[in-house]
Amino acid sequence: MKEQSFTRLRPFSRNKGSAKIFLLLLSSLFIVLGFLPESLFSQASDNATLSLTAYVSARCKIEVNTSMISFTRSTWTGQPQTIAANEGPFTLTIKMTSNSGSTVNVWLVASSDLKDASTGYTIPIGTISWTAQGAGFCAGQLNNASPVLAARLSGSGIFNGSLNFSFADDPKNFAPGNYQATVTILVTGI
Amino acid sequence: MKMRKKKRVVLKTRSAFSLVVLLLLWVSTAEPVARPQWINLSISPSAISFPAADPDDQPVVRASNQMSLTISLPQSRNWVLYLRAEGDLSSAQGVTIPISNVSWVASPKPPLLDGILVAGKNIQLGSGQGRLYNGVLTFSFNNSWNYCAGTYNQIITFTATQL
Repeated sequence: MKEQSFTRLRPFSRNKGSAKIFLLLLSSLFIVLGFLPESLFSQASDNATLSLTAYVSARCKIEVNTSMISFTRSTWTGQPQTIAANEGPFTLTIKMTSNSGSTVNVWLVASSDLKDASTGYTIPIGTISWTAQGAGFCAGQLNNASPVLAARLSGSGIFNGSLNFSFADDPKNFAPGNYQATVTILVTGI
Repeated sequence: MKMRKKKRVVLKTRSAFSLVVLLLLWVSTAEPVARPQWINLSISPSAISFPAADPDDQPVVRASNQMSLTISLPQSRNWVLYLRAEGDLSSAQGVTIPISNVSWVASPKPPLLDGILVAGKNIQLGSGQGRLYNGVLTFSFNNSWNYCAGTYNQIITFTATQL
């Protein structure tokens, strides 16, 4: 009976050389299989997705270095003269996030002529004008009939301009006094 | 003749013994191959958004929701977690905002890491051993006046791999 059971291994025993080779190959295979990194057999992984949405709304912010500018007739020549603003350059910063491809206009809107509240005398608002520095900013002259363009800007970002206001004084026609007017900065096209 | 038979029996015995030894050796060394390979990654919610805000008031906008993260896998197994954005945030009009403006703060640290998204690149979010039940990510978006108004979208993919 023992002899019978060993007959299954007959291929090993018939030829010593082939048996050794077979065993060597077999053992090599087992050893290689055993020591292969398990990652070669399978590497489990799982995925998940996250949807991101960022909302950017159109908006604008106007920043100025002063809320008031003034002009003083300090000398009397009797002749028309140009008087610069006492406060120096008026800096205007437009911060805006605009729609793609849009052009934004910045306007100066004067509601009335310069007026002395105590006497009721007026000076045309058109006597006030400005020169401009800064990309997109332009020179102009105030007008109480319609807004005057101060800047034309494209895209989004922070735009800095400098406006140098001056007053065209005409002493023969403008009586001494304290004249005031309000100018509104208007941004359109956001 | 008897001697020859005896030799044959001895050889067969040795062969069988060797085979058994080799089998035992294989079973012991091959055990890791049979170890279970699975990992589950779950996140919630599956979508987050950054509300519109004044860039001066909120230079960094936090996402409307925190994101929770769970990794399940056979106990004591190692894992590594990556996230990847294929591209920048983009609007329907084709305007883009660099995805590098999106960052996250993670907890717990370790095993998770803070980071910044990079388009088309796998960023390692963390690595560790065993399950992770309480991962939380808070995403933030760098706000700017320079962006065009619009709604921008992108999908990021998390990949957890058992090592």
